[in-house]
Amino acid sequence: MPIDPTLAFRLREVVGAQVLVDPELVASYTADWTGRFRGHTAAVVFPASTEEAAGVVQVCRESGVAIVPQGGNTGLVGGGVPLHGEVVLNMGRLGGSEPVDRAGGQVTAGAGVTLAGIQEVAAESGWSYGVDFSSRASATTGGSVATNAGGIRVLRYGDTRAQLLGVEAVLGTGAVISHLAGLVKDNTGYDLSGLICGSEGTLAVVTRVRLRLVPPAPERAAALIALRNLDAALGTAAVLRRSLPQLEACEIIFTPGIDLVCSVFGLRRPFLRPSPVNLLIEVADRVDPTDILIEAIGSAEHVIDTIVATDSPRRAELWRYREELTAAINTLGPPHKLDVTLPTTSLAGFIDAVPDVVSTIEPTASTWLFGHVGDGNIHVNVTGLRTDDDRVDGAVFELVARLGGSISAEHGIGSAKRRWLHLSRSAAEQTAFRALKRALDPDGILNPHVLIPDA
Amino acid sequence: MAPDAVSTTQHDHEHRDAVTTNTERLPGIELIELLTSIVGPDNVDIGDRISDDLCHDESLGAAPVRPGAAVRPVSTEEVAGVVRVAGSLGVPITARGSGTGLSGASIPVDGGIVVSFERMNRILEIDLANHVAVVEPGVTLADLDDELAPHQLVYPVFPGEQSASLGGNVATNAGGMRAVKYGVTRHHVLGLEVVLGTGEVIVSGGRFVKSTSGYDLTQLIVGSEGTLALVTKAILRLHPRPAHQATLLAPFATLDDVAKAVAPIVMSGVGPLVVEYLDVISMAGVTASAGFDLGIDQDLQARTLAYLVVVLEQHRVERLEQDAQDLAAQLSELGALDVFVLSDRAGAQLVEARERAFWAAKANGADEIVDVVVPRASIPEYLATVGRLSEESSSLAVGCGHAADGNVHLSVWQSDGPTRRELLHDIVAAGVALGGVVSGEHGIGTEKKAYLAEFEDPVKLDLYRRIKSIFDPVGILNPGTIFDLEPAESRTDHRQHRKGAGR
Ligand SMILES: Cc1cc2nc3c(=O)[nH]c(=O)nc-3n(C[C@H](O)[C@H](O)[C@H](O)COP(=O)(O)OP(=O)(O)OC[C@H]3O[C@@H](n4cnc5c(N)ncnc54)[C@H](O)[C@@H]3O)c2cc1C
Ligand SMILES: Cc1cc2nc3c(=O)[nH]c(=O)nc-3n(C[C@H](O)[C@H](O)[C@H](O)COP(=O)(O)OP(=O)(O)OC[C@H]3O[C@@H](n4cnc5c(N)ncnc54)[C@H](O)[C@@H]3O)c2cc1C
Repeated sequence: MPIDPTLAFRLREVVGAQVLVDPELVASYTADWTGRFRGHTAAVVFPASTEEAAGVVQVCRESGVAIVPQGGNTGLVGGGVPLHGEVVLNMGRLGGSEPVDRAGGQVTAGAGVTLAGIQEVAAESGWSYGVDFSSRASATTGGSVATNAGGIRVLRYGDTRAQLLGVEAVLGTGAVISHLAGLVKDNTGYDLSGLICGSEGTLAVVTRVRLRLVPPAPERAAALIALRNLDAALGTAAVLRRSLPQLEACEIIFTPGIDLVCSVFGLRRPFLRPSPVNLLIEVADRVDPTDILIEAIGSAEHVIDTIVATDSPRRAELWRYREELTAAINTLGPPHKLDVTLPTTSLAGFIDAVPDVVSTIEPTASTWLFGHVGDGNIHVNVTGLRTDDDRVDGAVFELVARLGGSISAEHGIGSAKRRWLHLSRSAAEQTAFRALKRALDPDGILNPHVLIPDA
Repeated sequence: MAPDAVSTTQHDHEHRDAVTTNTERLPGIELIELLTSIVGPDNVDIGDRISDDLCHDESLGAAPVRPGAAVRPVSTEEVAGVVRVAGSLGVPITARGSGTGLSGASIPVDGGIVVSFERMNRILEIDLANHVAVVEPGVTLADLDDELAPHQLVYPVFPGEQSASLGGNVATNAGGMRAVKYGVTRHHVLGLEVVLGTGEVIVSGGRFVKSTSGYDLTQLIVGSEGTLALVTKAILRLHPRPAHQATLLAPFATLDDVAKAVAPIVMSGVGPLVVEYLDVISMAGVTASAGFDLGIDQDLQARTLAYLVVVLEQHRVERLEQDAQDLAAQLSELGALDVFVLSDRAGAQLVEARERAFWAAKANGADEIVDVVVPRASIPEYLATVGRLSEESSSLAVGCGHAADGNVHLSVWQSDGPTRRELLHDIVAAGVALGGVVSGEHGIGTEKKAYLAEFEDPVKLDLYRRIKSIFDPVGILNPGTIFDLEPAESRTDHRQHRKGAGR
């Protein structure tokens, strides 16, 4: 679909040459990482400043053209790709962060700075950033704020919202609001930054973010623990969470997942004796936490085997069993990725029931479970389904809703889960969403096909 | 910025210092009957039967106002019923928890209805497996803590006043001393049940610690000071309760040294629970009113300009001792004149006395309390400016505050109204100039909305109004709190009117 020449001209007036229209060049911006969501666009625009981003929004608003804001395009719910021919507003050039405020332990960064970039800047100044997940090299701060991303350290430091002290953002009107003073306590008016966080590009385009940093915890130890059964794993996770304030990560991995990673990446199996379920945990402190870790594991019941790693290369080896899982699953064809969260007390019932729910609908499909068990967050990945067959998605979400959980823990609703938003959010809430959307984006040009179901 | 753009509300209050019943404002029979039909005759008060306690909060500068009626609902349905009645008759509603607020936000609107949550004070559930408490809004912090302690759990937000209600805490996003470790109320509210201005009930969030499925209405309501919705139930996040605490007291020769010490302490990873500074006058005030002596010798006291109080907590004693030792060494390196590791009793006494700093100041006749927050590295510069400003106006401003959050609490003595208002305006303006804001934790209420109008971006204020009209289309929920429902014009009049006043 060729771009309207007037629109192209006006966009170039704002961002110069940074408008891609060549179909071959735009292709990589129109499909998501899993390949499940493929769209098309007339143009990908790359603003380099807040003013340019606001200019692009204004032009699009005046031209009645919808926009999909895009960061690193690592999102997993089809929220950052132009499924309906929207203009893509890629924020990658809004890179660069201000020098870290060392005394305050905070940093202001452009929306295009990657997660790895923030982690590096923080580390250089002696601090640390509280959020981490495996798409760190491409995922942007803007995208992680827009999705309220979680990851492996939520247990200790909270989700992205918990790090967020403020944003600068362009509303759908083209107006810019800024809240970057970085005050930990700030009770002046409604929490607009918190509202924009998690809004998946539907309320505003995030241009800069102010993030809190956390003290580094340089002494680390990780352990892979093989457990006899699910109850033992969940029980152990609960005990560790209670007794180890140093606990930074607590992930659950099932043995089929480990086997898959091993065969795809040629890794050695971690344990000689097979175990059904494993916990991967990491503790971090200012003093060596190894003894405390070993003691805590020692007091857990139903442990079959444990590998403890203290130095960084050995820890990285253990983490590969968890971190490569997403990529390993992707080699089986585009998975359906259902990222759900449950009250701790419903987790066991959910994990037990899910494979049956899937196989009842599609006997040849495979279910892969893993996740941030410390926060009640389970990633249900299903392979062997057609990309457009969402019967399984619906059935799993209904199970989650019945058990009092949320259908999206950290990836967002995007376009993938929009149909099921009613399972997590009431009609009254959705009415409020629509009204809020109108207040911030009166013409509905920001990601109009994401998150909120059509009325 | 025009320096005379000072509070219009404060201006009004001068003419309204007595709690009077304005007969023209007595509620109509229809309203009373409708309210009675919802909450029962025992739970509706009008006229002089309304307790004086309901007419004010704890803000020092705000004048009390007598509402038209006060109701005490006992259930969400009753609250919703009251809101619907108020909406249909266009009568303003002010939610009320314990009335300990410091910004005038729970002061009733003349002729309006106060919805007091005193009867909705049940702890509905302590969910041990999910580390969650479900409470009604009238539950006090003290009650919740008593219930949690035996389970070795804690709701870790400790603003200075434990009689405050959780509904009030949610509505003001209360902070307090432990925010350096645990954050503020916002970070511990997992879900809410609320009644909107339409009478509709919305439930948001749940017993899970993370969710990103649509807009975070919970967070929007937290800190909205009763202007978006009435909170009828809250799901709160609990934490394991560390068994052991240690308190360290370090006198410093300059505030600069105090401020410079904060970042390294936080960065060291000892995870302090409390990092408070007190200037010498505040320290003298709080210890004297609490009736104890720190036992610091005269000579050292004479060289001290400010104190830093750091509280540590741990699950294990040995670890706590190690942390305390390392921190003491670090404090010395950072220029502390000395470091005292207080006994459990002395430590608890000191922290408690610090919590009572407000009452001490009030007893000593303080005229106003300031809650400005600045970037924490700017505290010394800010306090120097404040010192200069108060000297210039022959006033006294002393304080203590949450050093790690840059949250400065000043008590101001200046009995002359116009001089005081000018000074307060300048104190706030100085904070804003350093990148701060007018309220760190007490909220804007009615007392500080003129500052917000002056210093906040009009685009944001406009958004606030639009957001309010979504949740409260008729504008009955605490109207005139945080911002005036209608912008600008009327304020311009006041500015003109006030030109030259007090100068
Ligand atoms: C291997 C892998 C592992 C992952 N692990 C995790 C994990 O553990 N936890 C987790 O939470 N997520 C995880 N993700 C998902 C993903 O990385 C996050 O959602 C990430 O935050 C998205 O950032 P992004 O910059 O790539 O955003 P995109 O994918 O480009 O966009 C995501 C959404 O945000 C919007 N958006 C992006 N930038 C902006 C902006 N500047 N302003 C407004 N809206 C914007 C888009 O419109 C879209 O709706 C993983 C992904 C992969 C591929
Ligand atoms: C000695 C002292 C020390 C203090 N220290 C601190 C401190 O360290 N940190 C801090 O943050 N604050 C502090 N405060 C201020 C005060 O305690 C808090 O603002 C507290 O949250 C108010 O709770 P409350 O129940 O008294 O609310 P109220 O004063 O009754 O009301 C406050 C606001 O909340 C609204 N509200 C109350 N209940 C509801 C409800 N159910 N639904 C909707 N809105 C509601 C009211 O309308 C009003 O806007 C202190 C106060 C005192 C007197």
